[in-house]
Amino acid sequence: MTIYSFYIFDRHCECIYIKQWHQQDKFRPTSSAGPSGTDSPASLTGDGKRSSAGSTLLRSNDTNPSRPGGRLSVQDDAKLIFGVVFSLRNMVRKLSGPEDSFISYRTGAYKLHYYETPTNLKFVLLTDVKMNNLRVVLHQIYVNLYVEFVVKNPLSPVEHHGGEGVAVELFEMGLDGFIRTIQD
Amino acid sequence: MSANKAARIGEEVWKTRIDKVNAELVTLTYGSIVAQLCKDYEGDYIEVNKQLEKMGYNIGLRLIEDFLAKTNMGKCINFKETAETISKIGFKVFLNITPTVTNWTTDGKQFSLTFEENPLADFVELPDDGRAQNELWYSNLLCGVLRGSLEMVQMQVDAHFVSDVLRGNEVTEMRVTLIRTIDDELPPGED
Amino acid sequence: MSSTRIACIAIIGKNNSPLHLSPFPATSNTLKYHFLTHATLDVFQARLPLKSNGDSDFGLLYSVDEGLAAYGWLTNTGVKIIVVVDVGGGGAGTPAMKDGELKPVFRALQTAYIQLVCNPFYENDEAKPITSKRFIEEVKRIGENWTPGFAL
Repeated sequence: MTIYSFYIFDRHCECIYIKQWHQQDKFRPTSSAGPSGTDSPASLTGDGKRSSAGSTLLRSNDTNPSRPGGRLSVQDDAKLIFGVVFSLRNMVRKLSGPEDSFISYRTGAYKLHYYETPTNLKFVLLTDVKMNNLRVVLHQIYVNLYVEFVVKNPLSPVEHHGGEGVAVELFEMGLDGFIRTIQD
Repeated sequence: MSANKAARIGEEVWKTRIDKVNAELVTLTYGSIVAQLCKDYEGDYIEVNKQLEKMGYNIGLRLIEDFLAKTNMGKCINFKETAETISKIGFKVFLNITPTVTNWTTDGKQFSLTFEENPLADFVELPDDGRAQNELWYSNLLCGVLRGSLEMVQMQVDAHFVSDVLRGNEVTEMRVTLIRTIDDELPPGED
Repeated sequence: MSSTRIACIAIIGKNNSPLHLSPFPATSNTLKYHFLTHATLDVFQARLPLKSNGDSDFGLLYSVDEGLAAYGWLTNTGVKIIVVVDVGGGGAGTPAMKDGELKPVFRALQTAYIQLVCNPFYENDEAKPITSKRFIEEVKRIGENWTPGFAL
């Protein structure tokens, strides 16, 4: 019962937050250099304020998008996931009306859980295939962590271009603790 | 959603999920903001109205997420449902008042909110300089809040006061107009 | 039987500046009442050290022969409320008014004053007299309608 990664997309189709755990799974890039298997938040803007041990690992991937073996950078991953999620959501809406929205899909390797707020904020969680539906978990993350620590933070801007203002310490700590309790 | 159901939801959320704060604290804080704005703009009440609306807009952008988190509401089907939600749940949850929805136009795109009580304006008497009575909308922050929060759920609206008991009118009434529904944004390169 | 009624209501600020004075009926000569209320300030100052804590009602400050009696109330912030009562019909001696009769009057006046201060546009400038229409009308209402035993 593992959780691989977590993404937040805002109403402007931009990825504003990525968090990855357990990088040894099949489709995530791993590198012999640097630490592996540690939790490390992806640094979107790469500014010095958010230091994390694994950011060098991910940055080296960013600058080399066409590594042998077809491994993708984190940013491209996020774009792909957004594309999938957006198209699926539109298709579901066209088929069954504006009330419905897709909840999750499963492949041989992973399961993707999706939750969208009425303000067009999209939460995506990638887990292993045996996980039950985690839409409730995503809703909890929205209600108890995102709204409390990001929306209500007066120093965090309303529009999170490039993810600024989302990866505040309280949000990250809360998210980490919450995901750990899910996994146990 | 019927008005009764909305009222029930509003009452239940108000009772169970909201932290309460002293009403006089809110009234006096808001009063100092308005009084200070009037002083800073040296009696240019039109500009004060604009600033209050702007402040309300910034509040509304964030308040909508808090509202959705607390009430678990999904998207409203039509503008009528939006109006009921605003009056019976939104105002109830944040100010513990329920303004009445009145004066719908035939195309269903405009309605009025009539406030029987307005906690922001308790004890207030507009200054007697002859202009405040005609130019200042004391609770204009609320108009901005509505505009900001509805914009985040894909509705562009215009909200403005048409009468205010502080000005000597009989009721405090706000007119809300749906200008257009904002479409979802598409990712770049996709049409 | 002659009626006891309020002759004048006065509010004095904590620096002894006059904030408001309303005679009843409104056309009376105010100068007399100005003198009277000014004189009560000495009584406030004299009795202050003797007053037990928390009791704002100074009760009867003094009476004047023409049938006027001045009663005082000191708030925690140093604002003084003075009510001058006309016992009517001349006659010497203390007015037959029970202790604490005027308490509801003072409470109503204090409430009106609190509402005035809570107005964000009111500038609490001690030197200026009160110009708020609502406050002046409320004072008038209290003064004109009070009779002994009347609940405000």
